[in-house]
Amino acid sequence: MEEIIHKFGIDGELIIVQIINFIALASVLTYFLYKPLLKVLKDREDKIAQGVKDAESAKVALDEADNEKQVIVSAAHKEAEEVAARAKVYADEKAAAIAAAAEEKASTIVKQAETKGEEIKNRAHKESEAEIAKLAVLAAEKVIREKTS
Amino acid sequence: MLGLFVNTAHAATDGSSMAPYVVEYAGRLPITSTLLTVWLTMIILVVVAIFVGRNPKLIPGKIQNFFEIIIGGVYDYMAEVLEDKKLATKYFPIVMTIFLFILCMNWIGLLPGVTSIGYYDHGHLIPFFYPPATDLNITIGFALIAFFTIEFAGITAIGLWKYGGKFFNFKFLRKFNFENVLGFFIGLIEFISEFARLISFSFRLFGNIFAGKTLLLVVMTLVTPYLLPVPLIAYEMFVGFIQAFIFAVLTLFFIKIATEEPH
Repeated sequence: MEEIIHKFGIDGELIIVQIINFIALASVLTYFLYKPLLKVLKDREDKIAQGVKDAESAKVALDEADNEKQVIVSAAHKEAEEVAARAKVYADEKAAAIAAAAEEKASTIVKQAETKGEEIKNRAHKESEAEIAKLAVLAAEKVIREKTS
Repeated sequence: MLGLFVNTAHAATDGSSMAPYVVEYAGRLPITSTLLTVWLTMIILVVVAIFVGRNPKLIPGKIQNFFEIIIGGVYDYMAEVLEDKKLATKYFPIVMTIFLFILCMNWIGLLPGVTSIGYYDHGHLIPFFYPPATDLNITIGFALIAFFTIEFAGITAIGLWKYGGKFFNFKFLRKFNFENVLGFFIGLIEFISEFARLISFSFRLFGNIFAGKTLLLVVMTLVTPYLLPVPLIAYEMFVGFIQAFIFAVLTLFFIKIATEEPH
């Protein structure tokens, strides 16, 4: 044993120095290298996880907005149809009313025209009767004058 | 040939000893060239750590990205193996530092100038820098760190009583049957193997790097210093990585085993 220790140059102090070396190096590397890098790795992992989460929630929000849009559009469509239908009904009513009024007016005008025509006819009749009588008198006068001359 | 090999290996480590070169004495403490290399490794690692970790950005640059892949990857792997994020956070600095420290010191040990720049003392070259894992003091230091981390993990995770019960299983006193007697002996073997880890941890790293160093020296001094060492150096880089990886992963697995409830 003694010989082995001598042959390999084993020295307790050197071993202790080496252990101290190791502890010192491990501490320094932990402080300057391992902790900062592991922290950065952790931060990055968190950040990526957060990003994925955000993307997922954005997708959900987008889907919701899409659905809402669909609902709104279909509602608007329905309302427009209703409005159009109502307008059509109203227009039909109005048209019927106007047509009826026009017909009434037309028939009154016709009636008035008829009455007026009758009147004119009667007057013409009377006038022509008077004219004929006058002519007859004149003719008679002429005949008498010829006969007497 | 074998004699030649052994001689060269010995020549490479100064005389007939595998002890590290001593550059200087600071009081009673020998400042070995391996220790100097360890300090050089530490300085480089600390500078890189401060440079990279000083101001990490949420959107990383290339260098930050590279370190994030290593550190994040090891952390995730540890959380997976230990099946517990808290435990992973707790033991991450030790496992990660074991890996980075051993990897860097092995690779720095392969740099040109390491082993060859130094001064002559009584005709022997005393290099300033030498691959640290060729010094058993350094590898025993790592093995002790791993050992105490593992035992600490076991005791804090399931309690001293339960953890000790894994090794000293006295169930056979209450109910004497084959299974419980076997459990007692298996517990004792496990207890011995806990300590055997100290040896396997330290000698695995030491042996692999020492052998690689010796092989390179043999090829350079006995065969040719040109071109042939290039694939060997590439291979030694791979060995240096694998040894760092094995050391860290075994520590992790033993932590996992220690923190498991006994059945």
